[in-house]
Amino acid sequence: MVSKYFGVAAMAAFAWSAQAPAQNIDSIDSQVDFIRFTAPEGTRAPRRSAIPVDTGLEAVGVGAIVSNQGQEKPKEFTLSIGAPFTYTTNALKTDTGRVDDVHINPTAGLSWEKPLNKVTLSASLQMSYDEYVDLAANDQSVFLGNFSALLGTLGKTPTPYVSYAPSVAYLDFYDHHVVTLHDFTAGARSFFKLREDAKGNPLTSLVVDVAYSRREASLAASEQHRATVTLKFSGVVSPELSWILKPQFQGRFYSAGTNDGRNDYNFKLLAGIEWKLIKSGQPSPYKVAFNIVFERNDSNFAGKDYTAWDIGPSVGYSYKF
Amino acid sequence: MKIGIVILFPAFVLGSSVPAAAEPNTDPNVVERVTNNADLVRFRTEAYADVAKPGRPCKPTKRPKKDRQPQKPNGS
Repeated sequence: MVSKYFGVAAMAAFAWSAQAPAQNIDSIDSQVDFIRFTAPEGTRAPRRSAIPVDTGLEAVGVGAIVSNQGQEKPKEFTLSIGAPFTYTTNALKTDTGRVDDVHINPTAGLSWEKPLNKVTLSASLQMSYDEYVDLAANDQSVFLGNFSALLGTLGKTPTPYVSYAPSVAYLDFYDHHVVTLHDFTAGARSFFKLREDAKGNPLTSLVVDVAYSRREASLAASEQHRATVTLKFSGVVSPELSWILKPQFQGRFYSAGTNDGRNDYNFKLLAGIEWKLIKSGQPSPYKVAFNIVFERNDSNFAGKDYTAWDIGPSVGYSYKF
Repeated sequence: MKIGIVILFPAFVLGSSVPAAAEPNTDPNVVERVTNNADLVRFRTEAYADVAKPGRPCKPTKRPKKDRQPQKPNGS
């Protein structure tokens, strides 16, 4: 059992050790603003980003640091660790004979983001292990990757993007390889600021994402075309407390193997709140969340319909460097 | 756009080159469950990556004055 968590624990240890010399992000942001305010006209560094933060591109301009020359250097890497403890009403995702269970889903990820002139490149790698309390045979793990390019500056006008997202899934703790998936996506994304504070910073926002994906796979039966619409409402109640409401509609049109001709319509909804711990008056990288995830799948193949609820708290840590 | 093509093309070639193997002995229901779970993990972990936060920049970049193109006087 101990060895199962070794990978996640190692990343946690790395994050812990790397944290020591780091300054608080918000503290550094304040320094940047102060230097900008006090610097002589013409020597001020440019603002950190033209891209709103609610874009999936949070690292752009966030956590900027100031060099001796007054230039800002955005932090490009983010290490994230999370562990949801959730109760699910349908662990096996079946239409009949549902079995409920509690599962723990520790996840560790490293992401990178680089804003260029007119393109923002990003990449992420993630490992996730899902252990069930009763249904041990349902224990599974996955490596997830995402490499994407946002082609333009995000705003109300839809901004195109392309991405490649591989997934390598196993049973148990990376023990028995089950399937490898390759998702190639082209889409467009818009950002709307629904409510803002006196400085124009978003308090409530909406991101609309429309995408087409082609899924190639190591198993023919998993290959499919996908059409996805995702809405993402998010907001802040206070510096510590934020919320999110994320519905996603997805058509899955299988194209090969035993699933050839199968059409699924999948709906997911995540509703959650996140509380960032406060340390010495500043938000710390530690956070606690509570999520409710609802999933409904309808298929033209018999026995493939299901409904599942996933409810529970989560603890997390996020460190930018 | 070029960068997008540069990224996607080799990835697509790589992905397409992976043989879609004949159905293995693994229970198809297990394959589907694991696949759906991977999708769900991705859906959930990406959710909080872009929650609105106060005090973050959101307005277009204003170029420093020294970088701006000087206007030529009329007739010059």
